[in-house]
Amino acid sequence: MDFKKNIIQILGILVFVIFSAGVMGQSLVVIGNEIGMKEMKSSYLKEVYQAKYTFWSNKKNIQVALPGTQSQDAVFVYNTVYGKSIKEVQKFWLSIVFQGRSKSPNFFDNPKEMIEFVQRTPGAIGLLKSDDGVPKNLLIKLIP
Amino acid sequence: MKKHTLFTCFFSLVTFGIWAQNSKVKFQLFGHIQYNLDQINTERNSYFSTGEQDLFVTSQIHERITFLGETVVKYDAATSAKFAPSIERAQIKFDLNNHHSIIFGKMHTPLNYWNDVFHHGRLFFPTIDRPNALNTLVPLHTLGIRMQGQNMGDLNFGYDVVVGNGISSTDVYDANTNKAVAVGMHIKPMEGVRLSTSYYNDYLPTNKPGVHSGHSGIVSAYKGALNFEMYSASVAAFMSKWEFLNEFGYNTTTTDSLGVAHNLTNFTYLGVRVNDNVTPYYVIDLTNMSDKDLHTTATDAYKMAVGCRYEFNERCIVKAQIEQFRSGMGHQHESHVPRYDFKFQLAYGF
Repeated sequence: MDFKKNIIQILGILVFVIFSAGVMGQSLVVIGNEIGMKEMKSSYLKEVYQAKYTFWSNKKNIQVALPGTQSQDAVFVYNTVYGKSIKEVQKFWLSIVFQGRSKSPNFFDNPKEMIEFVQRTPGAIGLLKSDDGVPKNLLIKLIP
Repeated sequence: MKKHTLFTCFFSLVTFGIWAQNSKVKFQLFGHIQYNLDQINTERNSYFSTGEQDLFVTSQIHERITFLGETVVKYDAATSAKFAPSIERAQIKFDLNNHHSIIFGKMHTPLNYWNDVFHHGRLFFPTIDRPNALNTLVPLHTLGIRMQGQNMGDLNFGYDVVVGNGISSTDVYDANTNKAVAVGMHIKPMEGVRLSTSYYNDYLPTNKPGVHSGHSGIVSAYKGALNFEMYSASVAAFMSKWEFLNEFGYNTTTTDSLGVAHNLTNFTYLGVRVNDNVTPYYVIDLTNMSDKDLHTTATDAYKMAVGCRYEFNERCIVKAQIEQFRSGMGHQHESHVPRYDFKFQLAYGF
């Protein structure tokens, strides 16, 4: 009887942990500098990261920043935005730049370097796993 | 020798420029190395070869202006070093807005999916070789001006209109006033899928291949006037599991001597991604040339191949391919001799 009670308790704890992880799960952090908006639809963000646009609405040139292959954010960011592996996303950019249909994105293996790049580059947009160390004026609210 | 010294100096200066100005210049190198084992009748050959080494440079030189350069160093038996540089693309792009741009310079024609997307990058080729039509029929390059549009509407409509030097021209001269015209259109209804069609026209007062055609290896004895037209249609679907590409081309060459020659070509590729790294594939490539064609002494050709591609990562892949190739030079349709090839290619880009 105690054994059954213990099992139920463990299952209860597991359900709670899984639910909490879902609620408190990490969401994508979008940072931008002079991109003409403070909030952005997730569908528009995806299009920006698929190289469909060259300019923001404020005429600034879009400067895309992404975690590099060695970055701890890469798997999370690539999966969230593209639903693809690191290799597939790298292949996409390599190909589209080679075709001459878009300019090369900026890759950063260190989140701090990406934040600094966005901070000093008007029109830059970057994606992170965490908002640690991000100045509030760079944060862009993502709308589902 | 002088040519190579100049080439080295040019790249040294460019490299110094990058260090000196810390501008947004990016250099990349693409290339491949290959092994071939072939057999024609009882004769066999086995050899390694250095493929094209492709120096690729891009730079943003103004908020609206970008530069793209692609210089290939490749085998050239005519030089003492047996290698020679060749400028394949050198283009300045001016972005008008999010969807439209104007491009000046030397560029690939927007004919066929392959020529517009893969260019010289063996790393991007799904197979070892490009379609045979790109060696015989399709005008690969032009030097001129191009209006380009892309990613418009829900279907991601795109267009290219190009006016430039024609088939007989060089990189610095075209010995006539009429220009070649190429028009291409495509839609990308879903990710990985592109449907495209294109048209090309050039009037050659004197029939001779120049640097902008892929036909320079085939020399026709005919040197009179010729009107060259090419229609093409491509279906490309590079999905997560399946990969499919079909390139259809219909070419007419018109001369006063023999009238209109109708030439057809079709290339089909089918690949299945077994996992993230391995893609077995099948290729069938057909070219049917009219006896009336005087532009080339091109061949009727048939190629069937099976192969497998292994991707170490996005920057290094190997491909192995077994193929049977039949062709009849000079329109001698009955004299096809089969050639069997085993090819192994290591392609890289970084």
